[in-house]
Amino acid sequence: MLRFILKRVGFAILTLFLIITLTFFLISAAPGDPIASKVGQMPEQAQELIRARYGLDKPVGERYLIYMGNLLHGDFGESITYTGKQVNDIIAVNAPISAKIGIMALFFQIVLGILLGMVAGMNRGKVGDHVIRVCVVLAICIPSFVFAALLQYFIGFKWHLAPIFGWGSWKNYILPVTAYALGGIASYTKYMRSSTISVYGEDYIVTAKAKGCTKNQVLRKHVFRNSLIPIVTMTGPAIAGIFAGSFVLEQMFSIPGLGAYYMKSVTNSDYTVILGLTAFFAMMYVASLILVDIVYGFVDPRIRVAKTGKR
Amino acid sequence: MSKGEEILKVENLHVSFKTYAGINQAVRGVSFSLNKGETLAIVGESGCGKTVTSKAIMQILPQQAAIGAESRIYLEGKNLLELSEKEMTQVRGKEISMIFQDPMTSLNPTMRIGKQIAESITNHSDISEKDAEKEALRMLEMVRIPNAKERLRQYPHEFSGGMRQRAMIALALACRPKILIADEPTTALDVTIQAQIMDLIRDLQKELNMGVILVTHDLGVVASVADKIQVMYAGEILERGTVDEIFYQPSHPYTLALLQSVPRLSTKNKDTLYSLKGTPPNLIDPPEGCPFAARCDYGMGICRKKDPDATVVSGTHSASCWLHDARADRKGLPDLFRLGGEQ
Repeated sequence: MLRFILKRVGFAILTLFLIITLTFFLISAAPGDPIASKVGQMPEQAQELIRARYGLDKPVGERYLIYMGNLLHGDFGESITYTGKQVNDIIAVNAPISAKIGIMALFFQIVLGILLGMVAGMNRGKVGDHVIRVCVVLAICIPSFVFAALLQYFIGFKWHLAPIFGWGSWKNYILPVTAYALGGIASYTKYMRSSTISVYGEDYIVTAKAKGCTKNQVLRKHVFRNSLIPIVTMTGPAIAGIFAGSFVLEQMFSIPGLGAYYMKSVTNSDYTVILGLTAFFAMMYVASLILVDIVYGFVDPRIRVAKTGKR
Repeated sequence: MSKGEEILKVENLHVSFKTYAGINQAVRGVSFSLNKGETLAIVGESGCGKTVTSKAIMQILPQQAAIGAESRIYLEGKNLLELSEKEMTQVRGKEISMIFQDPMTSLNPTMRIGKQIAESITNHSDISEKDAEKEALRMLEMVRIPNAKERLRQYPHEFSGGMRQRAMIALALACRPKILIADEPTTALDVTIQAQIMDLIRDLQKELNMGVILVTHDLGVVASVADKIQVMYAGEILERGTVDEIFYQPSHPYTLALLQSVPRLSTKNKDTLYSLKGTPPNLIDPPEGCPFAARCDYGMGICRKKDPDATVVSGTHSASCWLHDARADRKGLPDLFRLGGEQ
């Protein structure tokens, strides 16, 4: 098991290296000047000074080596747009805020999605199933920012049940988490429904019935665990989405997460912030995939890695 | 209870399936009985209703299936079709057990073998999980799985096909049922393993004095283990009798065709193996008259108009065919064919 994890971590580092390298050269090649908005009408000499301060006067290759060298020490560098602000600080301060929204939303997505999906799957073709399926299609089709606007208008503005925007109190979580979770609940429901239906048609379910399991026992002991397998696959990318999934919503609800920085960095060609955040998201993504591989083993013994680590 | 006592009696069983194309009448008026310690083989080609019949006894048919109101299934005199679903769960696995065709897919892949067997035990008695696991170990030893203690903790994917079928048998017999329904238990296995599994079933049958219903299309398997045979076709029983009667004196052209299509050691290389032409009728709109008429070599005018009643050939042997009527034209009928009725 340890060997398996080490191997996966090794590949993960290689993947990250490739992503960062590719991103570095792509944004350097893209049009736009990171200091353009900063220097404005400054005389040329001053512009050159600022350019030199950020090392932008050096050739791309050299800049790449310096960047990678700093990265080895865990240093993402300083933002170009926000003078004196370290990318590491941006991540440390703002990522947890995004993560709180993301984790709460993911929790509701998984729990409610699995629940609704099983209910729909077990009652296939009945009224409950049809109602759930119509809601699922609607929730998948409608973008989260539309939900956000509807929630703000009705729950926040008309009925005064929750604050419309802002940050600080627990009440501020209600609307953004709901808006973020709805689409995910729908997709989890959809996958769990089809997974439940296909597991319910398996031979071993007939075996379970034939040995005298009640409907409830069949569901709890045989259908549930087996139908979770595709859900684990889906959850990997979703874990990465904890940080990156709610950018638009963060803007709408004025939440000081990573979203605002990420968008601004792209429009301003703020190289260090783009690179730092991209590397951060990539790291989270790769880590979540390794996590999924490990969780798989708990759910499905067929893909559990041999304890002796022979493989 | 002594051997030979009747434990199961099926009367006029009808099963139909709702499909998009219409109502498929998979089983159309099947009646038979099973005695203690006896092996009844139900043979027939794919889709003839043999599996549906056995699943109907267990009441584990898919949702879209319906058992006809005129049907009766008596287990020791008690009509199973009148039981509530809750009462029926106490019959399944305890009174009647079933093993299935494909041992590769019939075990839950995410549950340890021992736990799957133990579950069958805890479903029907109040013993603790720990005692149930001990009993599961005994069962694995009973079906001759080596290293049973280790095997108990393993998952189905760590078992070979033959071992899985043994585990299935252990699971099915854990509560010492009165009846075991074996639905093509050896079809998915190697020939050498087939013989081992059939021997095992036969030995355990003797030990537990069970009635066994063996569903198969493999006449070789039937010949070695069955006491009685019934031949099914298009949801009906065309012929029934003892093994000797069916193999040496078939009284229905369909049985004859089945026997002729079995390869024999005496078959020469140049000989062509007999093969029955055509396909079984569509049971959404079953034909009038005898269901086999369209494929029968000896078909007559009457065959397509009226379904023949069963004619008794001897005490235990009967067949539903117009050839047994004295007025029938029996030109070209082989000597093997045993005629019944008034001659």
